[in-house]
Amino acid sequence: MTENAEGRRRRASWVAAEFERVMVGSRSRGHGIQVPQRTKAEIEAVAAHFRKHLGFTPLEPIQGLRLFEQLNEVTIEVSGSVCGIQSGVIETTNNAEGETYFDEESHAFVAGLSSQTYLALERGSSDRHGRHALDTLGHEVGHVALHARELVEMQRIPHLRAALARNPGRYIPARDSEAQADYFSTCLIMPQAGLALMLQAGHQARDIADHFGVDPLAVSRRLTGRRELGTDGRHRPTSEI
Amino acid sequence: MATNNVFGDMLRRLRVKYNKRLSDAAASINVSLVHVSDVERGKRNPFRSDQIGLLGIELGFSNSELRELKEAAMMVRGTVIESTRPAQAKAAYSLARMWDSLTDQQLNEIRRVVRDEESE
Repeated sequence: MTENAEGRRRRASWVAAEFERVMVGSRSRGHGIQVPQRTKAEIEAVAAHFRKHLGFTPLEPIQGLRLFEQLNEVTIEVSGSVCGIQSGVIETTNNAEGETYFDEESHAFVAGLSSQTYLALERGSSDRHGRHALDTLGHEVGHVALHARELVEMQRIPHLRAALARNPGRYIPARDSEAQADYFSTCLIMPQAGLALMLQAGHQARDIADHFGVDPLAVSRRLTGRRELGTDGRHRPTSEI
Repeated sequence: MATNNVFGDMLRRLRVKYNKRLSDAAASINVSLVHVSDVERGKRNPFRSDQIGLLGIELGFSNSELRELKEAAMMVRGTVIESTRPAQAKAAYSLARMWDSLTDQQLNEIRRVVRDEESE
């Protein structure tokens, strides 16, 4: 192998690694790609619409397996084209908990969970891992709901261009795909309208947590806005909190 | 495969109908969760007939559902029953070739000929 060829091989390897690190919708690797900025209110509205479309009332707790199966009944319109959504258990990149991508062959978005995450989802909200798995599924759904256009385009972008799309020096949390998906998940699982009803009825954070099947800390963050976009300067994946 | 996911769609629909999980299906035929999910999404070939039989028993499918599932698997695989008689092979290939253009009336006629008990 000549020096040039070796250099090209190294560069290709770096580009591939960078692409996997940056572009794949995995929460375990920190920041995602920069996407159009979304306000909290916008994400809240999209999540509320999605919930309603799936048949969940604002007060109804989301059961992970039901959400997982019902996703297959949902279609989403992207640039005038109707695409399906498939939930599935997949071999995720780098053993990530979940991963979302657009499958051109089936013309559908795949909200994929690792086997471990799916098995945790089966345990339900009475289990700590089950609650985390639901959050992971909500996060992947968030990518479909918020970043459909980007996911479709990413399938068509050569890896080199895709990898270079990220600019860490100008990091804006509210434009971070992972931060947006995390916030979507929170809104999907604990909708603002449902929270308001429970608070009006005098329920405490513990009651709300039990009702929606989340950790009390998650309710606390939701109520105090500590998981809001862009308030702490840097987005931390949920798994680190 | 994804363009003809009649088997995967049917399997998922039946699994959900009987309130079974992917892990129930995987355990019944001793394959991975990813394998079952891939089959349901049309990313892998349908299960073998013996596996479908086991699945049906474990997940509680009815006999007619099981038969439909096996037929769907054959349809996706493009399976034609191997035959030593040229006339059988010729009939099978003709049927496969014309399959998409057959009317309901013609299909019922075929079912009547093969003495399908459920033909209308």
